[in-house]
Amino acid sequence: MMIDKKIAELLLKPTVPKELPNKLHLNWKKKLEEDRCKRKNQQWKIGYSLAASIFIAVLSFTYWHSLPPNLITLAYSDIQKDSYLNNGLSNEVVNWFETNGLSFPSKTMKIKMSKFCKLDEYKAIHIRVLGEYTGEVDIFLSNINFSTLSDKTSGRIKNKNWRIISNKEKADAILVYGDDMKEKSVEKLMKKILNV
Amino acid sequence: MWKKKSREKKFSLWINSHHGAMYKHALWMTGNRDIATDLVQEAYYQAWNSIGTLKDDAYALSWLLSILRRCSYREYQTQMKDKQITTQLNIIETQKTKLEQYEIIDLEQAIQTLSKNHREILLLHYLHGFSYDEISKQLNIPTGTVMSRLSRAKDMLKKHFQVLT
Repeated sequence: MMIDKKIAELLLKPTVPKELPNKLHLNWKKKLEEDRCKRKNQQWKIGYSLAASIFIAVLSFTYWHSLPPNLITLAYSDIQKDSYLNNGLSNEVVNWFETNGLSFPSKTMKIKMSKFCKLDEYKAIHIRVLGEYTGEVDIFLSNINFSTLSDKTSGRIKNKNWRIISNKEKADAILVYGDDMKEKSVEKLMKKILNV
Repeated sequence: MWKKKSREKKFSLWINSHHGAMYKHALWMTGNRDIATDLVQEAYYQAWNSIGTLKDDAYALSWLLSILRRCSYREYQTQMKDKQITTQLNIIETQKTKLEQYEIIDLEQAIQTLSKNHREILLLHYLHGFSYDEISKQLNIPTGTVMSRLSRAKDMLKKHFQVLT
């Protein structure tokens, strides 16, 4: 028992440095401050990454949304492919116009070329009409309801404008034309052909 | 926010109430004042980082000692690597009487002869007053082992004191 008491007493004997608690408190406060700074930096980092993610998402969405529908891309390819064609109005096209109750453009707007083509799996008539004064417009006419195949009804592809115009009773049309073609002429033309 | 404030308050309280016990434990384990001070600082630093792991505040000292144990184990390994094992007795305190100083030196010499495991149990029992069961839980060893190790440590100390007297 004596030895137990003695050991316990002796173990308790060494004195603790007076400055130790202060040192511990100071270290701890420093650590707290570091943690606070780290947390703040982290919050900034999270904020920045969140903003960057949103920015990228918006950018992707805008880019995705600015892309023309597949149908328009196919129409544009067809225009490029047949840019040299200058066959005027073919008999088959005349028949198709008559069968579908469509009118021809006015005499001031000459039909430069006409042909049957396929946009994806859809059969269409492709005609190129010269503007009254300047420019030209490529028109794709079909009994397929183009407006149901695309979310958008107008936009830009490369350096040209495109529009989808619909006349449910007769036919739908995809129009592709340059900036040199006047909007008024386009509207006049469509009014004449589709009666819209 | 409230939780954070209360945690800070608690930790500050643990510094004030347990630093002495922690320091003495580290001192007897290492035999060196500077190393003991460093270990206690390191232990409190680690403790703040892992404060969430303490389930019951009633066991704060045991928890702090377990962190100190880990720190001192790491320190021991570093010393072994650096081959700078503290051999000189460094606990002597000038403010004590000559007799007390000799007694402390004697005890330190005796404690240095004990293995780390025996020393640890001796300190937990005599310095901190933990029961066999509490030590068994803290060190994760059977109560029987605690009892036998403590008895062996005590015998060795007794033998040492007998040789001296």
